[in-house]
Amino acid sequence: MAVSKCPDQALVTYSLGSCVGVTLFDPEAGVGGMIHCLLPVSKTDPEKAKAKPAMFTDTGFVALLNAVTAEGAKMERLVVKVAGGGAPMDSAGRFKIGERNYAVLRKLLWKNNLLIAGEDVGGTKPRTMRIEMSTGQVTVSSCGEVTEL
Amino acid sequence: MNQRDTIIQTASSIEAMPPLALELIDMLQSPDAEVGEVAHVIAHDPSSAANLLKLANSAAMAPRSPVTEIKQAVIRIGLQRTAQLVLHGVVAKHIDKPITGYDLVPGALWEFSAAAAIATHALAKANESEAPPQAFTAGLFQDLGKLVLGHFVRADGEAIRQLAFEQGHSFEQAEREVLGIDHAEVGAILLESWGISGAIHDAVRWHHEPENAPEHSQPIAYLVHVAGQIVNLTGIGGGADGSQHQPSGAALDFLDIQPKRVEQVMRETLFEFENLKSLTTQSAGSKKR
Repeated sequence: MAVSKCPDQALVTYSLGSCVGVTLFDPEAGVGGMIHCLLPVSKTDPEKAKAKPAMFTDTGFVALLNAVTAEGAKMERLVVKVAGGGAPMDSAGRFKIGERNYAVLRKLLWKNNLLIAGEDVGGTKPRTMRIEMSTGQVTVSSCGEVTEL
Repeated sequence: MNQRDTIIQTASSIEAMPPLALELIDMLQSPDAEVGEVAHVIAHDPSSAANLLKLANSAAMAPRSPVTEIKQAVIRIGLQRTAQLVLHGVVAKHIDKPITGYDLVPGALWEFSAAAAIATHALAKANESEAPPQAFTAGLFQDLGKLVLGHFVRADGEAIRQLAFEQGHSFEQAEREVLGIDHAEVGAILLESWGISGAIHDAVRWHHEPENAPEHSQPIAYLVHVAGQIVNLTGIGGGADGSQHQPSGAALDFLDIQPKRVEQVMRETLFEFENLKSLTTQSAGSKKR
């Protein structure tokens, strides 16, 4: 997890497989953050979640929200973008981690009255997610292509 | 000479893994491995020996008195952790190169390999069994073929990516269609040239189609296959192929793979992998990604 209000910085996370990458950005305050969550819910291992809350989507998202608001971001101005949540080919739902990560995130966003402004989720492609702190522009690079969310 | 032959020739000429490393890997995976025997072998590899002593004397290990003997260090650190440390030092040096064809930054192939090796054990544990001793090494070596094939995948990357991500072929199938060979077969050729055969070789050769492995090697091939799929999902050491791999129904059935079990294995693998990284960082001052 990373939070910044420095316009010269960019936050980047690599290799989003079934993990979800989430960016939050308040354009007025110039505050933003990014998280890369690997597993859906912390209750499966509360002890490990305590040591590394960012690893789980539920505890990680809440930690990110708290961190950006502590830096001056306002909930009502937050722009949310999401990438990742992939799965292997034709696995007949036997992996499902990506789907579950995304579902947990959607639920938390709904509870906090936040909408997703842009996303690139699902499928098998590897993804690198990047947010420019000067503008809040979020891009996803995959297979040599860069897409703006 | 066609491209397949050129690739095979290239694979046969790759520098071998040091014999000491292979001997050590075998020894450390054996349930009968003895501390004295292991210490004796490590003592012949100055770099591993130095790292081991440094770790045994680190603040994290809190020794009551300085550890000066390799045998004491192995006892203090434990055989399993010693194995991981030695594998980090020796194997990482060998595979710590960028592999541009697969978009792998320096260290990424090792990260994937180390996590896949850990995942074979986590999977077996989730099935309330123990991984056969060869599974860890086969997990570690499964993607070695990328060391050789990366150069060729780079040259034909667009055609391979198009077949895989636009037309829905698995990445290894796309490699075969464009290059005449895939990274699994290349990895097996590498192992053959280093004198590694048996279940480790078979599991690497068939890690994307484990049902085609010789019957006696199938249980290990299944573990290695599913371990690789799970590590791909975590994104550890991830590259251009992403999760564009076809899971084997036979392997998923054999290991009774269900979402909860995948999550359990992923969790254990992630934490064990983090431990390994912190252990080796303390010892060798390795870089962080």
